Amino acid sequence: MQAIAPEPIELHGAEAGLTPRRMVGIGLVVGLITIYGLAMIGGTMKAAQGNLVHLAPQTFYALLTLHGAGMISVVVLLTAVAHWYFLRNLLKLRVEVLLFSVVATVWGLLAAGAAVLGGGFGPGWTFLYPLPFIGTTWPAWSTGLFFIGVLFVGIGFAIFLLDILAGVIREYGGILQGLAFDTFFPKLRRPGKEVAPPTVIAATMVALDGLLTVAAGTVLVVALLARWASPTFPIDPLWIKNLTFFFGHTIANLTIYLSAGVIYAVLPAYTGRPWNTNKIYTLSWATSLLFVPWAWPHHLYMDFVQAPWLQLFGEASTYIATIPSAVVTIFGALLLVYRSNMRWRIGSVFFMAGLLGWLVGGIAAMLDATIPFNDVLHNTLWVPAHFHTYLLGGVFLFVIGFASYFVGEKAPPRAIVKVWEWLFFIGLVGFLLMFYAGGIDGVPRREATPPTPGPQLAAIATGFVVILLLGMTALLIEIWMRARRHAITGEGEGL
Amino acid sequence: MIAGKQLIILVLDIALSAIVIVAFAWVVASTRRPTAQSAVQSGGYRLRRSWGWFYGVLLAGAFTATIWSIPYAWAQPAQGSSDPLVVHVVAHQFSFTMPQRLPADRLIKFVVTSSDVNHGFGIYDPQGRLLGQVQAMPDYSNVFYFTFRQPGTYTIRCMELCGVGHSDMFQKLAIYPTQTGSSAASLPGE
Amino acid sequence: MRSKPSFWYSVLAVLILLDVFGPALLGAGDPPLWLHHLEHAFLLAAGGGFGVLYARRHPKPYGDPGWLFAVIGLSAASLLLMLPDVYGNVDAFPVLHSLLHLAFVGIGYVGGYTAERYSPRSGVAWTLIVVMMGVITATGFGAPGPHV
Repeated sequence: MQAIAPEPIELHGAEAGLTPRRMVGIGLVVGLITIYGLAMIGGTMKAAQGNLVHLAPQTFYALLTLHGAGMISVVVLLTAVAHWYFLRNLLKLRVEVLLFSVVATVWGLLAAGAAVLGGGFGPGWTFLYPLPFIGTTWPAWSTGLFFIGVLFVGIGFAIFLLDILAGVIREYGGILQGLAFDTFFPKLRRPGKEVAPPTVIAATMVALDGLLTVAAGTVLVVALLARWASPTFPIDPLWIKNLTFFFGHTIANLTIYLSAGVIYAVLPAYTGRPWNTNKIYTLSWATSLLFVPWAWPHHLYMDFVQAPWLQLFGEASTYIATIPSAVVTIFGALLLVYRSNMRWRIGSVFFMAGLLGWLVGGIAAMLDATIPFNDVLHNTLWVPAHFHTYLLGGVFLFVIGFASYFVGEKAPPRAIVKVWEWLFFIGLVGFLLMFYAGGIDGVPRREATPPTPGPQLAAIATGFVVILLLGMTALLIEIWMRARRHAITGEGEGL
Repeated sequence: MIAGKQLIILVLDIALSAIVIVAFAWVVASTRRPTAQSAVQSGGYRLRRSWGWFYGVLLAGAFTATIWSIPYAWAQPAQGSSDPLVVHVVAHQFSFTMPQRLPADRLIKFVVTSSDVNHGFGIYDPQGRLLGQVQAMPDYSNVFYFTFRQPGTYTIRCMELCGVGHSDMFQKLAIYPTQTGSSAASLPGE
Repeated sequence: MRSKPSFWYSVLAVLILLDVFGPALLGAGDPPLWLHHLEHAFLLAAGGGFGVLYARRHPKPYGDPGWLFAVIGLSAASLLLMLPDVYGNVDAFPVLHSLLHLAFVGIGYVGGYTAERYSPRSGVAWTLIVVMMGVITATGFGAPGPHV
């Protein structure tokens, strides 16, 4: 993606030709290529479950581990890069810091990839203790290398978050102002400064909860590395299970909040209507900040020894954490679009579809997070059904939408693009429906050879994966070709 | 055949998703007759307030309704007092150490643990429907009360990725009918 | 605190020294594990506080990004101290243990200082994150399960 557009304002550290725009372009290309590879792995696993190809169980679980760990990391990377694109002007961020954080993440992914593909490390991306150490089919070095890889991804994310937090404090005077509490207490506001826009509020929330998550993730990985270095190191299985899901759930969840920061910035461009901060946004994001980190106990409902208050608080927090999304962000997006002069482009179509995926996946997630339902849904295909709905059918759609917005889309798309979009969405919905059907039928997740009707559903799902990948390839080529054209005409982002 | 809790979940999921999809379609269709933001904003804010209250009440109702039927022993004191049949289950890579036959219509107290890694303990009825589950964790014992309503051949299946043999970790459990007049028949119903 | 900062710094310094060398000098037994983790958090936080204050002698709105990379690299490197092979060997010797505790103050100081040099109040943020990690470790790092 060379020299896409003349840079309107040059802020900091753009030496050596690394403009913020080029950096974001690099991040997108690296991330999307990685997603491609990991999606192929996902399709291969489906085909293996459907008895269309043969995979040895240890290969299946190794690929499962890489698919999960890789997708979470790369989705964090892509949403972070997209959010950064809008934050860089608001917070005067430096491009070198983003570069460093992307490089650390890529190194981490490479290490984890080497551990899995070279060593066959395969306890799933949640690497639930003591599975990485007992009854293993992989060498010890791959266990250590994988955790070191996770540590690098954490370092990359920590740099990104710390830089954003520092930027918020520099520009708005503090964290409270970053969360727009000056809508309630105007005295907090810096003289001559406007209230923080929703994009910045989202960034402040993600930075705070993200740093908490990285802190927990570091303790988790250090404990596992300690156990790896000295087998006598004691670990309480319930404690580390809580820590694992505190880290894993929250980091996956934060990708949607990073995306929200992008939605706040992009939808106004497509609708031609401003999206402003008011007291409701302050309250809403404060609620997310407080309750998102407390939703993790819903992963431990079937651990009956867990403290009762955590079980009940987990259900309540999960419910409460949906209020800001359902009542403020998604409702606000619909209100912004309602009877607007929306310009329908690949970007706007994918942002709207992504919001829908976020909600539909959220509904399935809430059913699963309800204790009396969880005993027939926990660890069935219902779980990957709901998180594929909001990660693949939500966050990833925002990423494609952002890519399309980023290369600029003044002109409406060619007629053939409709076909690509239909292919993509038919593949997506069919693929997801097979997951839901398996979940309602009680087929366990993470099975190399699942019980009936798992194989039948997986075989059908493989067909939908092929359709999905065809549509996705065509759409990304379309966006790429547009980027090349705009490199010549000099057309920049947006409409 | 989809029945029981799974049916409730499916109906709720489809109904709620359908409402959301219709709302999205309606908003998307509305962009064919654009108007000024000022013309729709105040009405939208009023709707948001009503929606917020409605959603809050809905969640509070759902929470209150569901906490009465949670499966934990501490939440089901009546079960603990009713002389259950205690059955110890130890999960290993990749099998369960447990009885192969158990009576129907008798409250069973499963005490579930693991000798190695985390496993799951899922109960599937003869038709293959998942009826309930608990985790099998090393160092801890999870207490899980369950009553088999129908005699027949059930399946116990591991529900947590536990290693290379995870998919093969299941076994049959025969549930035999309780004879009338036995001690089990006098157990209080749930 | 506004009137006589040097007095409070001295109080903090005395507390640190008492905490670091007190147990070894008095020959007191080990505190419970969770308290020991919180003690580490306190030592890191105290060091971080001093680092932040010292860095504020160089008021600059936005420092070199090198400071940020240094903070993260240093934090990651200091994790090595938490590995049982390091800690276990040191634990056996009270004086070494005290010195290790002093090292925590040092890590806190350098971390708080470098982060604060990067951007105002980054040092405070870094120190709070480290304290958070200490609190998380206090919930059960290094503790065995109940073996039921």
